[in-house]
Parts: sequence; C-alpha cells; structure tokens
Amino acid sequence: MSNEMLARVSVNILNRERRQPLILLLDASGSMVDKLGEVERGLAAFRASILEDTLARSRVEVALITFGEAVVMHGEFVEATRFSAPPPFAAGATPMAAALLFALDAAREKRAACRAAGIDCFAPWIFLVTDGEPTDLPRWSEAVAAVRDAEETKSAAIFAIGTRDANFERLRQISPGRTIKLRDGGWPTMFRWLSTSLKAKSRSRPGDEVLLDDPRKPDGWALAP
Amino acid sequence: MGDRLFGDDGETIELDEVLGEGGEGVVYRVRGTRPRAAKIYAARMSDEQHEKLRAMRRAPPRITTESGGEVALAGIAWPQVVLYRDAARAVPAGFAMARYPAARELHMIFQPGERMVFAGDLTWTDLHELAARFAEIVAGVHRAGHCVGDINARNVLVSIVAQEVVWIDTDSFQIRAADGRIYPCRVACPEYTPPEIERGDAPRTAASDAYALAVLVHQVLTLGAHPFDGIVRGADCTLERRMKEGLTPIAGEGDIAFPPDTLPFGALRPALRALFRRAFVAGTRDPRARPSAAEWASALRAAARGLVRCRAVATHRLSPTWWRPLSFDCPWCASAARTGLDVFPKSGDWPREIARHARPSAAPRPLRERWFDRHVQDRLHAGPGRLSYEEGAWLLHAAATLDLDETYAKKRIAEIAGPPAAPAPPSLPPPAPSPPPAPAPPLPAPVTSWPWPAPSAAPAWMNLAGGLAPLSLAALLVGPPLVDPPSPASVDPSATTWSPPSARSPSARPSPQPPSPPFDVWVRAAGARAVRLRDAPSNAARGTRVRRGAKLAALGEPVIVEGRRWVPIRTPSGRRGWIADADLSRVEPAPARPPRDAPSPRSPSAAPRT
Repeated sequence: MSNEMLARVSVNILNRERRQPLILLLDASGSMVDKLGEVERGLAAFRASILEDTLARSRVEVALITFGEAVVMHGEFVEATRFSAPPPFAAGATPMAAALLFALDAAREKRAACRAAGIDCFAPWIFLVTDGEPTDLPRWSEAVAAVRDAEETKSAAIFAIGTRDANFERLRQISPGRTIKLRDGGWPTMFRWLSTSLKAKSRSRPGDEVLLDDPRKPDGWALAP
Repeated sequence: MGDRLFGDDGETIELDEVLGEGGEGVVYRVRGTRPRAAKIYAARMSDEQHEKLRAMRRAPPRITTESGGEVALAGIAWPQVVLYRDAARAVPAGFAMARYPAARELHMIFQPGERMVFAGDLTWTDLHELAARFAEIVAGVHRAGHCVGDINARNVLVSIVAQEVVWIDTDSFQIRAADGRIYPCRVACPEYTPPEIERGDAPRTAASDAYALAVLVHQVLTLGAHPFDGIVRGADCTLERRMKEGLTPIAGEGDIAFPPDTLPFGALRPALRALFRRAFVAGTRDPRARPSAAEWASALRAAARGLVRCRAVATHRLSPTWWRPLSFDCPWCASAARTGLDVFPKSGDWPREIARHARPSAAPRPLRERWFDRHVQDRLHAGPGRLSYEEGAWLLHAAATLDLDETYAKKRIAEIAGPPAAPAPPSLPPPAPSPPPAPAPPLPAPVTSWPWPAPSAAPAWMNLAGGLAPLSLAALLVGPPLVDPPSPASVDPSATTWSPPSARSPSARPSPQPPSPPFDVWVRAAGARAVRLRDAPSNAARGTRVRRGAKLAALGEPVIVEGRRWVPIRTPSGRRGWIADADLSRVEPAPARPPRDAPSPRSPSAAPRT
C-alpha cells in the first residue's frame, strides 16, 4: 500500500476531544453512474447533520475513499466541519478487496497518529457501500482475513451496505453481523442514520457497545435480506 | 406550542418554541417578559422525580457572587416552579427555570477551534475566571448539602454576552432534602468519574464532585487536555483504565509522558499545579486529599490575578516565573510557532457580535460574511499573503460553522489575505510505480488538493497525474511534499504559505527534501551569551547549547518569528532545530580568535541571506 500517502495521516493537535474516525468506502465503479446524484446529496446531508452537533463535529473525523477505476483517498481524515466531498465520479471495475485493505491501513494509521498525539480514539468505522461484487478476487481472501482480524481485535468496525444488485454472499463474508441491503431510494435515510449513530457513538466510551437504531424497522433504510 | 401549564406557585405559564431536546424530555422557552425556560418530561414523571423537584424547590443553594456576597440560584438553572398539566396540580409535567440566552456548552469554550469563532477575545485570564465561577457554583451546591453528580462539559453553559456561567441539568443532581432524605444522581460521564464510583447511580460525595471538577478545570486551563491524557509506554490503555490506575503525567513518574504540543504543566501557576497534584496523584486513592470546590474557586481567582501580559502579543497571558518575573517565555507564542495557529489571536471585542447569536449559522448572511472577513483580518499578523496552512484550515472551519460555503470562504481569504502562493512543485522525481491497468480517466482532481484548489496555472505535476498509479496520484493530490524541518509554515514569509502541514506524529514524517541544498554556516565566534539550538523558532522553545564557532548545516531560508530571524539547522551529529540568524555567520571564523573583549565589527560577518 502506498506508505507515502498514509504517512500523511495526521491529527489536529489543538483539538483534544476523543476521536471517532469514519471511513466512507464508496463504490465508484461504472455501474454507480446513475446513483451519483443520490450519493452526493446524501453526503451533503450527512455533513450538515454532523455539523449541527457541536460536540460530534469535533469528535467525528471523516475520510472518503472511492474504488472504481482506482482506489483513491480523497484528501485526508478531517474533522466534520472540514469535510467536503469531491464531485462524484464513477468508472471502471470494483476493486473492493484492495479498497478494504487500504481502508484498514488508513484506520490503523489514524489510530497511531492519535496515539502519538496522546488523543483518545475509538475504533474507526468503515462504511462500505457497493452495488456490485469485487472484481479483484485474487486478493479477496486476504481482505476477508484482514477485516475479520480487525473486527476481532476491535480495531475497526465494518458496515457492509449493498444495493439490491450487490453480491450479498461476498458482503456477508466480510461483515456477517452488519450486512445491510439498501432500500431503493434509501440513500438520504441511510446517511441520516449514519450521522445519528455517529453522534451517539462519539459520546460513548471506547470499547462500549452502542445500541444503534435498527435500519430494518419499517421506516428504516434497509430491506430484509 | 402554546400549551398551558400550571405552576405550584399559582401562576399559569405558556410554552413557546422548543429550545432543546434531551433523552428525558424537551426544553421550551416560556412565554413572558422574564427569561425563563421549562423542562417538560416526555414520560410520565415518577413519584420520586416529583418529590425530588419539590425538595429542590425548598432547598435552593446560595452561590457566592464576585463581590463576596451570596445570592440564591445565581448561575444555576434550578427548578423555580414545579409545573403541572392540570389546574388541580395533580399531574406533574416538569419545572420552570431561568433561561440564559445564547449560552454555549463549556466544551466549545475550551476547544480553541470552536472558541475562536465566537469568543476569540477571551484571554487565558478570562478562562481562569470562568473556571473559578463554575467552581463557586459547585461550592454553593455543596454548602446546601447537595452534590452535582454528573459533572461534565455539556452541563455547564457559558454565556459570553451575560458574562455568566450556568449549571444546567440540575434535576440530575443528588439532592439532600430538608428531612434528610437523599434523592440520588443516576447518571455519570466516564471521563469525569473518580475511581471509587463504580456505577453510574452510586452515592456521590463532595469529594467525588471535587475530582470531576478538577478534570473540568484542567480542561479549561489547558484548552481541552484531560489530566490523564498522555503517551503511554508499552501497551495502549484507555482513558478509563488510566484514571482507575492513577496513571497521569502530572505524577511525574510511571510509564506516561505529557502529550506533545499541549500546554506545559509548568506553565500553570504553582498553586494550581499543587491542587492538580492533590486531585489526581494523591486524590486517585484518597478522596479526602482532593481540593474542595471552594479551594479551587479561591485558587483560580488568585491565579487569574497573578498572570502577566506577554511582551510580544498583548492578548497572551502567562504565569510569571521567579527567575524571570516578566517572562518572554510565553507558552502561547511557542505554541503558535509550533502549531501554526495562535489560539489567543489579537482581536477587538467584535466577536461578541457572534456570541450574541445562539446559532450564528442562522444569522442573516451579510452579518455572517462580515464576521468571516473579520476572522480573516485577525489572522493577518504576518502581513498579506502570510496565512499559515493551519490558519487557512481554521478559517475554513470557521466558515463552515457560520454556514458559509467553502468556495466563498476561499475566495474571500484570497481577496483579503492576498493570493496564496502556489504550492511549490514538489521536488519529485515523481514516484513511478506501475502504471494503472487502463488508460487513466479524468479524475475528480483539483477539489481534493486540500485545502486550496490547484492554482489556476496547474503545476506540471498535476498533469502527470494520468501517468501515475492511482494511489500515488491520491498522494500527490493531498499536497506537495513537506518542507523540512519542523513546520515553519506559520511564520515563514518565504515558504509557500499554503503548504500542507507537516504531519505531527513522529512516525509520520515522510522523507522530505529541503527546499534548497543545505549550506554551511558557523556559530559566530564572538559574544558572551550562550547560543542554543531551539526546538522551535522562538526563544521560548527548549534548546541545547551549541559551541561558538561550530560548523553547522543550514537547511533553508530564515523565517521571521516575533521580529527575529531563525534559521533551520542540522548539527554534524544530525540533530535538528533553529538558531537565531544573529548568532550565525556564513563565513568561517578566522582561525586565530580575536582577543576576548575586542570589539567585533571587523570580524567576518557577512549576513547569511535576506
């Protein structure tokens, strides 16, 4: 992985609040083209919602990684006020395994940077959203093992979200407990749920289980799988 | 809205707009001339809750005022009227309390990034006074026999406009009724809970409050650092674990060091340092060792009186030291040099305009635009075009909190502060890993070059993008390589002013290229003072002595800090730091040293460079 890039993961030392990092791992393969508008609006609503909470906006740090033509980290981890999504873009295949491995590296680096600054850090959330299946299967088993290991050591929490057409067998391999099928048009609700959950999580203590609102309830954003 | 409720004092009140919602209920504005609010519980109130409210009504605490007197309920949102849903006053609904307009939660005051938006004119002295004020309120609560119980940064509000601190969520306090009955506090916040309190609903004492209060005071004075924050040698362990084991850098022993880049403990007034030691070193095991709320209040007032003004920046306040009673060693100047952001910037009292609005983001746009312009102007000490990366990033944060979009903010910054210098083309040899599998697509490029869009004349390396592997492309978009040595970006007039910050963690230093090849310099041979290699370009920074006449390598152009020029230096042994330009020469001193007291005008002293 590009160590050069990860070497840039830093932390705003003037903000001593505990951090809740979030990695948005978004599918940007060619098939996502129709959904880009929804993704863009969803991200904007997500940011606005976090901004409203004066404590959460100091605690939640967001990094956006897309995978399509390539795995790209857009900027760095930033506090929610400084997060701005790039114009959406989609093309190419679905290198999901490479993206997961990259996200895990980024999560590790973020925790290390926080630790070096003496700032407490919760386990980063990796929020994977896809509409397809991995095309880089040779690395898939490696990615699954790495994700499972991170979950077991509580060094990251992975949410695997798929649209109707996604390959849920693969998604369940990486996140048996948190695989969710996205309802059609559920994007805004999903991002709102994400911001609400992060606000709750950023106020808990590290290691605690936080009860999240069930997205499968009738007005939620998930379909029963 | 418009709901009518019946008070136990015979009055009828009407609810107005919603002010806030919590887990237990909703807080409304109360219609009328007196500023009041009402908390209405969502669920039906239990008998215990109702009796607790009535007990609180009968036993209000008296709070010391600044003039030394005592007033009931100053600075505390105590239940003043118990409210009922029916005229017969049989179904309790909640209570009415005083309302403090445009008050902010305390964490917004101690976190500099937030405070500077609406209270940038507060000084460190003000922060001491503010801490003294909330300690006085806790002391008043204790005198009445109650305990706060759930002390945390969200339960203390600060109204900058009214210059008042307000304790809220009083219905969670532990109350001792006149008949001796105790109504417990059932909530706790782990970051403020002393080791002897095992569960959230355990009985509280004045000593358990004193511990939490000391944490809060520490956070306010150190701008957010928790007293148990630190770098732990060996296995990582959580804050709660460190609190339980009493592992704090304040103890000065054990496997923990102060976190880097926080206010040095020694910068606090000695009396306060002693109180912190009692609270967290002895006080971890022995609750009786902890200083009481009243002790904190008087020590903080005294400390506030003892602070002096920094000689360089009028808004900096510091604790004078015995060896230099009017010290130049300003921790805030040092912090500004290190982090690129002055956390007590020069500003008039104009931020009070922002403080007057409870939600500045909802103010009329022309106002918000004017505030933002003032923010940019306040950051221009170094002259036009001299914003540091960190200042730029903070300004964008301020814009976001004022609900101004990033494009507008960047445009205004450029107009007021002058165009940002184009990032220097990185001294790449672009890392040329394997080419991407397919011809590179147009990438969502410039927006990702944080924090500034690629300059209009996109440097050549932007165009290289297509030929690079995607990952290293992303790396490029993050910004050009960092300039060695330790981040002079804040003050360096010659460097690219919007260069990205150097990553702060020691592990996160990429192999940097100095902007120009190192050249030799010598420490001037003449002079009586010791010359020191400083960690940062400031006399306030830690330094180690260097021998006069020693040959060193200068790593780049000098920067100007506090009116002096500083040169980034590497010693032959590889140590790095800063030496004042005045102490350096680019010419090797003559081998035969001049007599000790000979005047030195003829000594070779070609000025390094300008």
